[in-house]
Amino acid sequence: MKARSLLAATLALSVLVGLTFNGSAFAAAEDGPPASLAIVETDPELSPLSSLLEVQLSRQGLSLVERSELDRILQEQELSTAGLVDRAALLTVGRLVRADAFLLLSLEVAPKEGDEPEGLLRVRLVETVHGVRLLDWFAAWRPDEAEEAAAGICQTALGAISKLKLPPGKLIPIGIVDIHRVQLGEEHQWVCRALTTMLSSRLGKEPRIVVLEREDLKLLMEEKQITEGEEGRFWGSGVLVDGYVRGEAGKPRELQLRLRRPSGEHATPFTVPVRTDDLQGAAEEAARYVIGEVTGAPATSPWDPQKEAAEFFREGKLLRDHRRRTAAVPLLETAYALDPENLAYAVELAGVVLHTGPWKEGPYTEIEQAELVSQLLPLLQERMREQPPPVDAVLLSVLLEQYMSGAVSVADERVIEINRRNRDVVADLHAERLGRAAERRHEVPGTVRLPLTLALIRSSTPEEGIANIKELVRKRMMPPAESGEAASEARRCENCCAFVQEVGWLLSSGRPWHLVDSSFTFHTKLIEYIQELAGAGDPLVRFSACMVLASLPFRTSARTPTAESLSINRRSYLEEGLAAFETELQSSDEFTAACRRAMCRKIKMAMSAVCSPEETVAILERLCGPLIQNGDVDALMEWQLNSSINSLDFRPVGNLDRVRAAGRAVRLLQRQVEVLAGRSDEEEVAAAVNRAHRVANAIADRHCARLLDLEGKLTTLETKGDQAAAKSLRRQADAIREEFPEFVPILHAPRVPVRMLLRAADWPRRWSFLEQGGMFTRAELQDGVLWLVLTDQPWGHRTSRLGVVGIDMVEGRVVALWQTSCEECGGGRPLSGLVVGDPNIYVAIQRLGIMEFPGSRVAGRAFLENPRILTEEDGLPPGHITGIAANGDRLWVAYANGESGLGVYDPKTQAWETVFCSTLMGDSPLASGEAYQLRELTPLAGGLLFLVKLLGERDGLWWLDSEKRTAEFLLSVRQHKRIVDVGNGLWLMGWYILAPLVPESEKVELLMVNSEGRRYLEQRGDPKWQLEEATFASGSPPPNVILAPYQFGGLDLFRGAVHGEEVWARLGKSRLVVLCRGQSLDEAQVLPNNALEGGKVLKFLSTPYGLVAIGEGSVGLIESESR
Amino acid sequence: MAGAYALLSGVYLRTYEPSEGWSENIPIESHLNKPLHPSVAWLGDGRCVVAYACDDGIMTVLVDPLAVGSGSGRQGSR
Repeated sequence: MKARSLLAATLALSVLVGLTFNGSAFAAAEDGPPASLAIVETDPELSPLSSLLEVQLSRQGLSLVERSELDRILQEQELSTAGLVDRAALLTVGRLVRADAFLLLSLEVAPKEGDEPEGLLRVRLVETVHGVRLLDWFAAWRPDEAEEAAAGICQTALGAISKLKLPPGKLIPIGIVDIHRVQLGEEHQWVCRALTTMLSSRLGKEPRIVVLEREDLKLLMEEKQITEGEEGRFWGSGVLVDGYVRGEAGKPRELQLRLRRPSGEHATPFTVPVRTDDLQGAAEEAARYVIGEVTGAPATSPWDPQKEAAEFFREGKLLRDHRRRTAAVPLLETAYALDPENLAYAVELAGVVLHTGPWKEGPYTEIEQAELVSQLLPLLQERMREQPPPVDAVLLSVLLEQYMSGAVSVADERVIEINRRNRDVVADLHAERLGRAAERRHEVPGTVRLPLTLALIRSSTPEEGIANIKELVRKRMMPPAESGEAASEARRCENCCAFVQEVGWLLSSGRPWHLVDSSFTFHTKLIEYIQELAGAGDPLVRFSACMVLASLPFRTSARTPTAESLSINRRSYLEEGLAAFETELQSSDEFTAACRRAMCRKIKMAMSAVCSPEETVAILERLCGPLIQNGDVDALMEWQLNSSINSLDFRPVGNLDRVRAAGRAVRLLQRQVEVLAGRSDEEEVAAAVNRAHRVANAIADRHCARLLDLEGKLTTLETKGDQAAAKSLRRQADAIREEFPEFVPILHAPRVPVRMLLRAADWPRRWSFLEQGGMFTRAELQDGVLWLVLTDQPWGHRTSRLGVVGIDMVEGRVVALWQTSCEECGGGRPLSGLVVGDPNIYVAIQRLGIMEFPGSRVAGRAFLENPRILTEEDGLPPGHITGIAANGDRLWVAYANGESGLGVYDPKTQAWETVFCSTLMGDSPLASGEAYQLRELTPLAGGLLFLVKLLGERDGLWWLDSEKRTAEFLLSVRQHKRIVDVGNGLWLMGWYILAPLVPESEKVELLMVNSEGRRYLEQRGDPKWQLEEATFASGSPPPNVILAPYQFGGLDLFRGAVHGEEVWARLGKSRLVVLCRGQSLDEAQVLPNNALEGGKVLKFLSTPYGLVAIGEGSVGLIESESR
Repeated sequence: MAGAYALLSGVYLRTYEPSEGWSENIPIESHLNKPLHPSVAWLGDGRCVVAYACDDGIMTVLVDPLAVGSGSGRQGSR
């Protein structure tokens, strides 16, 4: 039996010799009727498990109490099943239902959807004569694996159930009171715990012995209070065990056990030698002694330490996984003690008891932890010698490195002393492992990184750490004239740059934690030392030290001293470092290109820490200007100007100096391109040219978008007569025009003729979008009326505006205009569907529910204060509404929370009919237990087209037959896509894809797509539809045009449309692009994005009535001739 | 250090190795309090082990970064 669980961590033992065990009666004698069992589950989720167990146990010849009978008695006793954990209630009910024992099933931790699908099941077997617990066992619980769980429980419980059949007086209760340590340090506490657990488990294996858990043990110890009857005889027959492990100097350790009766009689103590590496031998010998003394016969059950260890490990790990750390420790200790060569047990034990930080008390004291590490290291050293080392050995070595880098490893003098040798072993193993890794990668070992890491692992105090670093600097970074040992100047440079990076990391992260104290002694001393180095004669050392100091964190940090707290002028160190670079290092022949590139990176890192964008541009001009002038392509490639400038944030563009710096940055890139172009036949150089174009284009585009906005605002201000405000804006606009002159002609190109259908001022409450916060639309065309729903997501505001407009496209007039606001309707894509109908228009707002607006026949214009929102209270499933679509008078509704699915909802009657539900198991992958999201519900004749997300292989386009209610997978589509249908065909749209869907020929035509888009369309599974190439544009795009979201300066297909023979789309924030079929992208027409009476177009829609442009609260119809 | 890194962000970690690049997000135990300071060791077969500290002790995870991208998530944990 698995009685180990009885062994609560602190049990211990004693026995009385020569006792006669008088008749305590268990339920059934060996030849009598079968034992009778009542199965009780405390959680309804366990009912199926309970039923399965009834079947399996009755097959074993056991008699099972009827559930109805048990329920009746419980009702009579006014008890619930949970009440049976009470001993008195259990004895009473047990007698009434005539059960010999209860098998109690409880769910200690319920499984959760998603992250924790596995729960923790506890199984207890309690006999009903004395209330003694014969089994207390934990197992993993998954509802879909109930049969496996039942089989496991059945197998485990049968051993314990066999004890129910013993004749009266045969069962012997043993209580292990305590095994403590004598003349041994606290680091041996785990030995006592492990011996107790092993002894308890071993004794419990015997058919006649039951080892008492803590509560029952208390009864045994108080036996004198129960003096009469069978109950008194049973407890009087019990045996108490206690003892100690003793370690006298010069003598082998020994375990001494004492056995005694509760009444006080006791036997001669018994002594067993104890070796830490063979605790199971000691436990086995002790158990045999106890069994012999108590039963008068030798042990009868086999004992397989490895099998037992595996079971202890399984249960301990299970408890740890469910956050029962304290309960897990003795089990994991015992697994390790039973099989000390097993690395997996060592890893788990080390993981549960070792700590890094001082912030929380763990199960082991600091001394115990250090001793455990000392004990584990020989095994680890031995196993790490294997080639390749076992995974568990690597796990343990990384785990011990973690421990060594934590404050616990240097908690006090004694711990420091114990760990001093351990540190060296861990560092050696680390060096060996990384040396092998470098060898595999064919790297030449020897930069300063590894030695620095090792130096810190080996250090126990801040002083040792600093001394080790100084020695490292001398050897690896100093020139030969100052006793440096680097093999070459190039290697020395490599070391210096690595030093800047690694020390910079220490100073910003607060590592290594084991050397940190509350006054930051280590980091302060380190900075002082680096300040010394900043005055060194050698330019490389001086440069490196200056770069570390210039990159120091500035503001007060809780983890490290900062430039501010130490009054360090980072800017002056940057200048000193730059001076060393410009005058002595840049032109040195002794450095390789890689060296110079590394030094450039350090400068850029320091600049990003200490300089404003305008200062950075000035330094880059100073350093790179001469290289451009000299046509030095190699040196320019080393600088990688594109990435330096791309990382600069030129906001706010209202700052005139910053606008000018942006202009200078663009010109610097352009000048660089002129030089690089001479060698653009080289792949790396050509890529740099391309990237420079894109970076320059994106900067210019952002400023020109700002210029468009400024011009709009200026018109308004000047109309109002606010000259002062207008003057300030005019200065900004002039600065942008001056800095980006090549963009200005585009902005002043003739505007596209547009007939305005709706203006921002037409809304009941004037509307101007904040584009940077996001803008979302849904559209539907019905009976010649274009219905649009618009919402924005203002940055930093909880309230979004939401509007519905109906535009009669034949007459070109607004027929309905409804506006409202909603709280917390944000999220990635707040609008998940629009259904236009009568008597209501429905807008699905993912996080809120379905909002009702007046129906399509109602004309008017109003701000609706509290429009009705249909939610769970109105019969919808809980959670997010991920899509809606019309289904006659009813709605298709897709939802997702823990579960997900699709149903038909009647808003009138609030009736819900499930079509698919992820947790209602069926044949379809949409009913397989896995959660998913259904989006873009699009009704077509006979059914519904939709996209499925989060279903792995089956993500993509699906079709639902509305009559048969069967769904089939059509095509793989990954990442978010939209399906758009406003009367000019069905379109699949994304940032990188524009593709018509053609249901009648079961295909998707790839009209415009780039490599990224193709990746999302890689087919998996068994698609029913086909992809077909249908190229719209010819040739490859020019370097300054990329298919990408407009925010990144790209040609944004997601917000574009194909209308007739043209694609209309946004190009960055400030421009529009019109591309004719068959043209290449560089032939495309580029226009200013100010078509809507000066306002930007955010999205295009192609309708049978013309090309519609949606702007910031406005809508227009493009009237250019070719339309 | 020495070329291999792991970053922790909430309940995800990412590993970096020069020859492998950055891995996808690897889910770690979501219940852990304050997971911190990951360190990583590569096994030479494309997999790595990551150890990180938290209030529940020191956790170790065996990760196959290449498999993570295909949606297999955590490969094993101790």
